Amino acid sequence: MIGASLCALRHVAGLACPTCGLTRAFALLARGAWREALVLHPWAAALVLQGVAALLLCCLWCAGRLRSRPDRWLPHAVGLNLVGLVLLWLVRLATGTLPG
Amino acid sequence: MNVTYFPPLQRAWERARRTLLSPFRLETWLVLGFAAFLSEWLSGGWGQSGLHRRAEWHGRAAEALAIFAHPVWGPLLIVVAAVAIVVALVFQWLGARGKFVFLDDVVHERPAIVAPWTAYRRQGNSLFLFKLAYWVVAAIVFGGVLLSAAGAAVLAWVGFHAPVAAAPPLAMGVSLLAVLGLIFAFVLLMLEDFVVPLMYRDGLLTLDAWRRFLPLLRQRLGTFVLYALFVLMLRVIVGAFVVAVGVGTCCVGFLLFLAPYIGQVVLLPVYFTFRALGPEFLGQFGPEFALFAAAPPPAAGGAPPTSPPPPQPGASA
Repeated sequence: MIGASLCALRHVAGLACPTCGLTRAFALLARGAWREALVLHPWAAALVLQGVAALLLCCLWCAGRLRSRPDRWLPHAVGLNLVGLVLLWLVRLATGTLPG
Repeated sequence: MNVTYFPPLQRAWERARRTLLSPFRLETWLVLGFAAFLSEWLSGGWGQSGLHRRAEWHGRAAEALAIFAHPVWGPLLIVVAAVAIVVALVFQWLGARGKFVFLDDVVHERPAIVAPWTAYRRQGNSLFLFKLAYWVVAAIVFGGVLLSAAGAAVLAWVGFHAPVAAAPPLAMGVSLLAVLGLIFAFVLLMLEDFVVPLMYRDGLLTLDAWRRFLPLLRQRLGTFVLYALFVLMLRVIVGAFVVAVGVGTCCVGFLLFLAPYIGQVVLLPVYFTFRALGPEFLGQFGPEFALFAAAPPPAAGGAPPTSPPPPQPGASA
């Protein structure tokens, strides 16, 4: 880790928060190190896939190949991501695999 | 008359859900977020940013006073202070106009900026002048109490040759300031939640709307004090949620919530519900106070009604 941690939960409780490690995992994905990225934070890959899917859906909608607006799924996507992040955090907390 | 607190909140939330999520449209959120930004952030409403800004300016003003005598920094500071005051006034004016834009959007459950901005020009300008006068009076009253308490403390200290003698006047001053702060905050809440909707509903100017609202406030003061406590409780809950999300996202959530405009878009359901809560609560006091039942038609560039609309059958709580 470079520099000081900004995570308040880590400072207060000594625990990594649900999003701790996401930036580093994105950086690893950008370098093609997807195994290390998955170990550091599995949700980073899921977010990248969702971003690509959203972009594709928007392109299809703009081209008139999609009837319903893609943004109508945004609240569901945000809600599912939040639930997913919290569940993943609880699992990693229980298994001791949170990033250091 | 049986006045309730949670049913108006439920109705306000249902209105927010209907407008923002049925169906979800990104542009609706972006436009309504801008209206909320105009209404809440710029005027330093219940958004934290305005409060921070004011506190920061008070602190800087005290520091600036000490170096006003400097030949270079003195004039520069005067210019900076003048610019800051002008910017603050412009923000307050935009905020006052924005109140009616956001309220119009909440009432008609649709995103619009230009039409309500033009249509409620008179009311917005009147609200700006009222709030300006209000802040001047508040500054005089608070300044007066502060100076009196400090003066009395110094006199007591010098007179009795003991620092402890300054404690009673200081304690009295602080207590008085706390009570005055609560009263001023209560009046502001009444203004934002009840007087502004009356101005909007009947095309009234600020003082006329206060004249309509004051008899009700006098008659049901306890009910409105309970409403203020209810709103405070809701704000504490929202604050706890913001802190929880901020802490749980490496503080990125704090940046999202506190960033101008972005914060209003992200927290739009909360801003929308709070904007609708006051009118929903006020509507329980009779058709003459019901905003949603007798709202003026959507602003389309014309002037708002200048006389109260005719009472509608069945338009009550």
